[in-house]
Amino acid sequence: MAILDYKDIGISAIAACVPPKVMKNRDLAGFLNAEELLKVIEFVGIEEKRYAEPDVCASDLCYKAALKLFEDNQVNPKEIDALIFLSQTPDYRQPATAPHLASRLGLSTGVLSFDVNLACSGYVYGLATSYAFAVNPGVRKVLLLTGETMSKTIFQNDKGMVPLFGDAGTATLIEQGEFGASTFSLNSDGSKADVLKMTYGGYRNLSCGKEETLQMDGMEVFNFGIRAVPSDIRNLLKHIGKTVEDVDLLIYHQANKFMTDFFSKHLKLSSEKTPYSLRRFGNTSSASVPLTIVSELHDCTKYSARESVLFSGFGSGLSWGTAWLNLSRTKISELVEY
Amino acid sequence: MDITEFVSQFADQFMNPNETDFSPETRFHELSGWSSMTALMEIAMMEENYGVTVPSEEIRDAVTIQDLFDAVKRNKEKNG
Repeated sequence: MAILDYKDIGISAIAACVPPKVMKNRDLAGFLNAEELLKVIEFVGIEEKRYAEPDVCASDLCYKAALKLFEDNQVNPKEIDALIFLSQTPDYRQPATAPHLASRLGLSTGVLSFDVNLACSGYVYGLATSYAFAVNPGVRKVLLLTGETMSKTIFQNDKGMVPLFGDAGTATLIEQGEFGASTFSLNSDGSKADVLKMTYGGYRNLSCGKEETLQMDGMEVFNFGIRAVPSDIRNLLKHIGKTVEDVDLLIYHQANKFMTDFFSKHLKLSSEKTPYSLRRFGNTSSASVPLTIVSELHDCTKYSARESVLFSGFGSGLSWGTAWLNLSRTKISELVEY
Repeated sequence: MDITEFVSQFADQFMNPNETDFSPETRFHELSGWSSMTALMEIAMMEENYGVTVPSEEIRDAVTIQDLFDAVKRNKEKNG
């Protein structure tokens, strides 16, 4: 595991945006049998998710989230020196979406901006990358935009996939301040790339109808999660001299409640410390951690202990990571719709 | 490891009250309650009770509950 330690860099603000169109899993009755439906809702934990319209991209959802963040925190866009757009559903294959987003948001042409292509581990990777820029005194603020229109990557006749995925865009502002220490552990295992993959539509295999959708070996993803995630969390805690008892909150990538509850059981972590937004928004890939922060922690009377927070992201690549940071000084905007 | 206990642990992951006839010979892929989610619950059950993660390929190749029980045993021995 690659370990990165930082001091006095943190998340000053977070916002998120979802499309207004609600897709209820109960409406899949007939497509799924009664037991499949019950398990999706009660065990996987997804009642509904949001779908973007055909002309709405992940970048649009991120754009709206960023505007909300600017407005709520009186951010001058000209103070943002770095913008990272992390998504697997960018506007185009070429060019990168980040420069256009920077321009739409009124950032200066002196901004460094680029895309990162990662999925469910992406928020932890994107944050670690943002922190690495923010360390530099020449970078005043970093804007991390993570968003996905997962609905457009799913074959709509795939019973295993349709109930799970939704769309969202998020904006996170990273800068120097009195945030204390934070640590990231980042990992990858490309030997298992096939277990979550869109095989067609790149340059290895060109576009090809149905195959240009996300395919998942759910059992192998689950096996990978059990092997990789609790141990990465334990290793990070060991590195910083903390234990599970010291954790105020653990915000998982929102993939499958049964799976992440199973991780918590392994870690002996109370379920009261693991907020979920999965029930209302499903799996939104790299947007799921910040979306959970916005939807579940905007109300500051809930989950009020926020100094020792873990983020856990894991998914295709395979790629996974854990972050330890302080959210007590983070301003969380109210969720907006596109 | 006891096959009778394993069959009962396996059956606990099913929720259809009409699906009660579980035995080592049950061809589990053919059960109406078998789904990708049930598969995950069985993986969790095997990890929790036997400390092994059985690769998805071996779960797909297993025809009966007995086959799955054998896969658990095999993986347990492999892990030493």
